[in-house]
Amino acid sequence: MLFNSIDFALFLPLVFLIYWFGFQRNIRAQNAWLVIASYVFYGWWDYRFLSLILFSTVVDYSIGWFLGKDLPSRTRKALLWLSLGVNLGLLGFFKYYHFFLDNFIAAFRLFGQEFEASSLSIILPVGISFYTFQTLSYSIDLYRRKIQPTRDFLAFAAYVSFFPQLVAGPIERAGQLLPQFFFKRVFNYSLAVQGMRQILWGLFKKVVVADNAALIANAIFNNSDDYGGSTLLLGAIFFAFQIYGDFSGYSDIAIGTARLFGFRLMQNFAFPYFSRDIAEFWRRWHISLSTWFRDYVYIPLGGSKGGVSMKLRNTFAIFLISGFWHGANWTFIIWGALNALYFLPLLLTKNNRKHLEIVAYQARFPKGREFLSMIGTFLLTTLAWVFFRAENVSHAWSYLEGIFSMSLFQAVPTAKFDNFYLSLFFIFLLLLIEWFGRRGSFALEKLDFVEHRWLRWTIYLLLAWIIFLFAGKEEAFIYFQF
Amino acid sequence: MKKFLIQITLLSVLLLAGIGFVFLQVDGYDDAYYLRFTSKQQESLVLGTSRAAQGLNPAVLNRELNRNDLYNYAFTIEDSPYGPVYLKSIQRKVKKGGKDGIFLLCVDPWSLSCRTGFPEDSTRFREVGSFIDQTKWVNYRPNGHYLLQSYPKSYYELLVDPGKEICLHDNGWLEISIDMEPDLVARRTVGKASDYRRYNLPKYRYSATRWAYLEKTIQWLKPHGQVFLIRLPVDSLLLAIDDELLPGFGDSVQAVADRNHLPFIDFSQEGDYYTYTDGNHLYSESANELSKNLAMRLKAFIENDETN
Repeated sequence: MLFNSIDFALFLPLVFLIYWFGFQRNIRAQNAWLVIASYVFYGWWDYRFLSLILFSTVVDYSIGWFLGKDLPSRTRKALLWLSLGVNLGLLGFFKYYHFFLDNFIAAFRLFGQEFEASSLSIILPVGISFYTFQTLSYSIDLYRRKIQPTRDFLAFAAYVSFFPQLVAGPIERAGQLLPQFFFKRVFNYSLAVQGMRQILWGLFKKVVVADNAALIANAIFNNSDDYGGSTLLLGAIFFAFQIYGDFSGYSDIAIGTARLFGFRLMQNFAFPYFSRDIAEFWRRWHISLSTWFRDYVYIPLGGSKGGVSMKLRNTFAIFLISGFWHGANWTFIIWGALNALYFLPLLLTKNNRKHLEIVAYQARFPKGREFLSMIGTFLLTTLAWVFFRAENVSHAWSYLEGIFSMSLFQAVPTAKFDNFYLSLFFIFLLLLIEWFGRRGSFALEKLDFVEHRWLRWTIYLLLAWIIFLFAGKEEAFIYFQF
Repeated sequence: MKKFLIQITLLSVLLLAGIGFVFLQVDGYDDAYYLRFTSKQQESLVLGTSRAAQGLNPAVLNRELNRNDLYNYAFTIEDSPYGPVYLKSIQRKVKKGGKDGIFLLCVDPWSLSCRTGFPEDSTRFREVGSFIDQTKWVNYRPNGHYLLQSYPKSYYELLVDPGKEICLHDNGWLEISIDMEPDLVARRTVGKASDYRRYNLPKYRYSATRWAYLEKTIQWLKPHGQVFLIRLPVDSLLLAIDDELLPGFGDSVQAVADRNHLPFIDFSQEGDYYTYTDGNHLYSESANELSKNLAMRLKAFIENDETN
């Protein structure tokens, strides 16, 4: 079920009303209702996927139960490996089977060997990368004795399947989210209002900004041979806003929806396109995944301690794995490697933690140098997005070659693209509102500064109207495929 | 909680009122299909693909046949070939208990062929999931179900002037007003034929399941009135491609007609008498002329039927 669908518009109020009016006094009943709702939400795509999520839940609950016992360290380690094996095995089978098969065949062919392999028709279950990582963090944190195992299967099942963030995150840690299923949840007016605001803002980013930008980005990427450098660069920029609006919009709706049910999820995007360098960008983009990799891959590998070679290895490892996590295609791996290359100079010169606070925190506008740094960082990430969006590596290379040609200075044939200026206007509006809201956890968080209620209501209504009138063609969220 | 619910309800009411207002503005210039899902259930229908949608004007047919109930419920080659999806939609549109209707089933090789590699698997037919499939309620206005699920553009376009090129009349007839300068028409005809030859012909193939559904549609409609099979004229360039796709198509349709004891009226050899916007679709003036000619032939059949 998509957040931007009529199905969800009917589903959410129904679940909300039954949750608060039917089970207000009973946490277990609320949790049970959340599990049922989450399974309906997930099964809406394909009910067969439910067996996977149930299997993953049962396995990690059981392993967690044993990990909580006083067992010899070797047994505990074996249990952790079992959890890693099951979760990564599922992920590997459903997501990477064809990738490995195709590459094995290609490798054999390199040595003159023809290799026939029977292919399987495998459908990638929606959001498998997200809930797999969420359950993995539970087992790893238990192994590290950072958290205690839960005995409450219902609460654990609700934690794994919690519908607002089930299919595209934020990837929550058990230590942060699981305890919330044990505390009495009382309806909180201001939390719910913030939730609705965040949902509204997320919808604007997704259906107005991303879906309209997608029309232009798709037109350019799908016919890239027909266009000159300036248009190709513009296509990459539109894609940069498409993916940002799409994914951060999804996260906003997810976090906002969770707030309606009394839950607090972690911030997943912190205005990444206002970053002044690539290290700051990665602290602000898909935060739940970046921190996941930091805590479970980068630090165990030694982090930024040690010599240059170790720093190099660890940096590349984390970015390559991150790229591979996104998809079974070499384009994602190169996208990861490119970001590692961007990041390395900052790490080696110890400038990777230079910008921890949002730009111009104390000022209304950035300084000239800050502005130029933001533009530079944005362009670097935009060029890397070309690999993310391209069909394959050769498409990405030819696209980049097209950008870095003399045609970069040609005029863009804007008349060829429907709603070009409208889409550009919405991107501008997004940047403007995000700029003034950048000190909050989302752009409209501080809307309370508007004292008059009627004015706030006018803003809500106007935004809702813009969402309705200017929604692009309904597109699935990009990150669902991951 | 109470305060929150009151506020949300108020906001939703304001939003829904606005949506309703926008939806009530939709007319035949905004969308080529919408009005067909807003009219009441019908006693008599014109059925088929876009050739029929543009080629048969119910106003002319009604006038010539002294009726007032014929309604054009034909869509496109993509969305309304004969099959379970279109049949279901027809069943929703036909007035329950009607017995005296007439049903003009326009056939062409494309509406009885499949583009899938599995031409006998109706779950993989191209119209599965289309707006015809999605629109479960076909007779109320405003039809939010269609507009929310299937309207292909942003809704603000409903508030701006769409131009007069496309006009879906209240009786379901789709009229296209474009420049009919002969050179342009010739270019569009060659372009259309070239597209059909390059993109459609290699992909489409005979589907026994679709033919079976044509007969199921006939059988379902028969208790509701008289059923006729019609083959509309097209430009000779397009007719040649039609014949390549399903050679002997006319004979096959005649066989269906004989089996079901109903008339088959074939205009395919009269293509040169009419003008087309692109070789495939009749120009409005020709559509009126053809509708008149068809009405004459129908009259003969109807009178003959009444005499017997």
